[in-house]
Amino acid sequence: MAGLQEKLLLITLILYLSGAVLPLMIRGSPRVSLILGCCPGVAAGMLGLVLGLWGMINPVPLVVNLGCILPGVELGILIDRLAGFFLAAISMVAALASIYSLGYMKIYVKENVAWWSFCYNLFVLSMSLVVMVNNTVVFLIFWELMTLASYFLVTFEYRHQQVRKAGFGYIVMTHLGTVFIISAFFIMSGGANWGFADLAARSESLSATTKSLVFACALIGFGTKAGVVPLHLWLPSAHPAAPSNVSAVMSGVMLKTAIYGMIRLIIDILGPGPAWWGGLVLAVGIVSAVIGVLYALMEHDLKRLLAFHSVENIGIILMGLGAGMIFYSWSMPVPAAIAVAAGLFHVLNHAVFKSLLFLGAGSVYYATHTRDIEELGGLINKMPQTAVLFLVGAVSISAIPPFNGFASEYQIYQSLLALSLAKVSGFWSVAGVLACAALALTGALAAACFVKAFGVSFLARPRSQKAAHASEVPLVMRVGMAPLAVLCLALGVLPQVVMNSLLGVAAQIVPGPEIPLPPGAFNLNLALLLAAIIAALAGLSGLPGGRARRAETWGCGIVPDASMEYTAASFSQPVRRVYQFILQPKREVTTDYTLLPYFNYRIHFEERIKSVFRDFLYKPLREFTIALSKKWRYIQCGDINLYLGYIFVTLIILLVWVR
Amino acid sequence: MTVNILSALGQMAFLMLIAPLVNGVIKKAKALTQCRRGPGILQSYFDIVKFLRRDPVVSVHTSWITLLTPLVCLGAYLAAGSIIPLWDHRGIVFGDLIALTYLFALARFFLGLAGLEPGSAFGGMGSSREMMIATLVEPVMVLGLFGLVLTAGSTDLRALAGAGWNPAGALAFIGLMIVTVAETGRIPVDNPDTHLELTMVHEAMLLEYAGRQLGFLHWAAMIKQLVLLALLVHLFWPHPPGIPAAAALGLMAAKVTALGLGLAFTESVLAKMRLFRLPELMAGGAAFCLLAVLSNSIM
Repeated sequence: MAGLQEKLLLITLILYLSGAVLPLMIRGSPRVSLILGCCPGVAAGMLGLVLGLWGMINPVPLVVNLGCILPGVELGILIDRLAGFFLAAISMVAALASIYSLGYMKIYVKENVAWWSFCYNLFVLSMSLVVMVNNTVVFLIFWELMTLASYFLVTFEYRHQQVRKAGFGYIVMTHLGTVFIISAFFIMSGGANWGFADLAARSESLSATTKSLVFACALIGFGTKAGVVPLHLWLPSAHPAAPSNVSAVMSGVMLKTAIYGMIRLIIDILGPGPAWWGGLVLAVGIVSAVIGVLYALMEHDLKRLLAFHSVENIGIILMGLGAGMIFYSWSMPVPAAIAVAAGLFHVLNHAVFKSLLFLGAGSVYYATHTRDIEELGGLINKMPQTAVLFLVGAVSISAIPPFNGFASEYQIYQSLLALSLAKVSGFWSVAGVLACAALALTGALAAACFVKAFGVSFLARPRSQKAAHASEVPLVMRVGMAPLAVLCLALGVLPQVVMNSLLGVAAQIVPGPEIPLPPGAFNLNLALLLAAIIAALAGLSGLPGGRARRAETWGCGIVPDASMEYTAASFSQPVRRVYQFILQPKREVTTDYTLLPYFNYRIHFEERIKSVFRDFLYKPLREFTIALSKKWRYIQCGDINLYLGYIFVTLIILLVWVR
Repeated sequence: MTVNILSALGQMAFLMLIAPLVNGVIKKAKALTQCRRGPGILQSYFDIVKFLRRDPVVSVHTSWITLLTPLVCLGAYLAAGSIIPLWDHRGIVFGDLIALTYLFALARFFLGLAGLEPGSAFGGMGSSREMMIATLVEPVMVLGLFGLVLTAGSTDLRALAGAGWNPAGALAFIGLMIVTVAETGRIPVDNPDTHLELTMVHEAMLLEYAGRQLGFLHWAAMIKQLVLLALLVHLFWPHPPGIPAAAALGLMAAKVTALGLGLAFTESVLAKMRLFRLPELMAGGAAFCLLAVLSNSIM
């Protein structure tokens, strides 16, 4: 059996590589490059999905050594249940995004599509390998490859200055994060053995302080890649800069490799720590969720809005994991495993609905060439199928039953309540319920945000010519999105099936006794009930709207036009005002008038929100760094003799030291 | 299983039938406290029948969302109602406290979309305000309701019967009563009787609806009100266990009406609040709920 798995693995890797290399070798038209790049990508993704699911169900992990890739560095593969789960999620989203790309990349025919195919396949390949390898050195190599490939994908439209800036911010922030990851690995290994198994064996002998140091480094390092607040700054600029199919993969699954890293290093290798570790992760999760969704609500760029929702959902995932870590530190393996499984469930669900939404945003961009929702409107009539698919994603991300966002947030609620009910101390009892309230706030804000996003871009009348002349996107793009929408519903109504296998995954990390299936079996019944009531009412009232008469919207005597519609800015105004202590909005109204202020002929309104983190955290840090660099600059005078002197002095010091 | 489904269906039928009556009683009580005669307590039935017999008129700019929304709202509130055990059940098949909370979100989501769809500024204003109010109400609701889970130990509503029947529960009750006022769109949060553009919230979203669709939405709003009141009764003031179903239903109807009279009274003595003063009101509700949680976890 293992032989077959090994063959599948090799074929998958070769397919990704051929998808990367073939378009570069065969310099055909962009169309040919696209087909050469995407088709192997689709096939590899499907094989990867099979491989991942196999690894997830199979209790015996697959261990293969694929030989040396660098002198002294061997590519050891380990697909256990955890790796299998992440591999399956990555492969599925990547395969569907590849199908979608066949249609979507047509708007980039003037760009270098072969280069895109190369980076894209390499990106997916390195993501898959990041979760499959069993050695920290190889992990870091593929982690870097993943970052670099995604950097070139983010800067694909490098001619725009905005894109180059976003790419720069991305690569700087993620490298800062990588420094912390390397430190964490280095402290763990002590410079001796670099395999995950060696690290796990060594963690027993580490002192509590060292462990906490590793934990902090891992949280900062992986947190940067995952985009937790306040390390999220790169995320809302990098995701919109990339082409939408790439954003879907980056937001849907690349962020999850950081979650994988956290689970692997903190929970699996370090094992149970003090309760404050979990408490910190939970707190970071709450802050990320609430701040992320609040900023999302203020955005009118469809893709920036979705990017901020990634921050929110990473926060929700961390709430589940944090609860799990707290239980783990209390030596309560059963609720710990359930909470970790709840977090993993949200990982899967977020991968599904977020990639669906990003692909939907890409479809909107394809049809209208704008991402600004203030210019959209009425798309439900122009692109009815895309509208349904986007709506499914919007309902799912707003945690509304019976879709999948609700199913996993339900499990996280249960875990947070279990935190309260464990009665370990009064503090945790209150903290659990307060975390529930924070999750409810996040859900309500997300719902408000997606009523805005869907309502303003798809409903009412078009607000610009671009939206008025939109048409439905090619079939292949809808085919790429449809399975994700189906999954949104399927994962929502059958959470028990998914939770059952995820509990298996969690049990591998948090070993303990047999875990009873947590509640939540009612979802299917609820969905059927809702469908039955709606169908019955529709039948009673004649088919919905069968006899509905159509008339113009009431406008107090005038015929309203599109300029009178509620805009995204006006929709979010009450929220902006109520939560102004976080958002710090600044409003400027200037009126041009003749004679008296009552007779104005033009009003200019501008409202901006302050980026609190940029202004109060990053700006001082940046200024400090620049000031420090200026102080050091005097050793850099540009004289080549001086540099040779530096090298000479360094050499002598080294020789003396090594002697 | 069959028994459970049948009893859930029975419960839904009960809610559909009784909701207009409760609404009529509240309206009558409100009129009496304001020294008016007011309509008869059966007026809500006549209104619904009148609306249901008319064909709908919808805006030319709308799509299937507008037509689907009334059905989704009615479905969501009925499903929420089927979750609360009105009499002694053997099992609940359709959800628990968390599902109940989120079913309200389902209805609100679609109502928000339907408000935006006709492209009128009123509808958009209503949606925008409704979603903002929801961001204030939902955390308080969860804080209050889940605080009770601390005593009951489970989110199953059968276990939660009477979970608030203790000193800490009194605090949670006040908090949840504020939530109920906000959720049912009553003064001081919203005014169910107004059609004055600048103060509407819930009614603004329904402004473009007519005929059968409007009837469904009004009915849905009444059912939502009844479900919330029934939930409060179930949590704080449950009927004694083991009494026959008919008696349980009768008691429930009486207690719900009593709570409704309370709503009518507060609505008559209070003035509507400015929209941006609402955070203060909800913060008050949150404070009560938090105190309840604190005293629950200390005890």
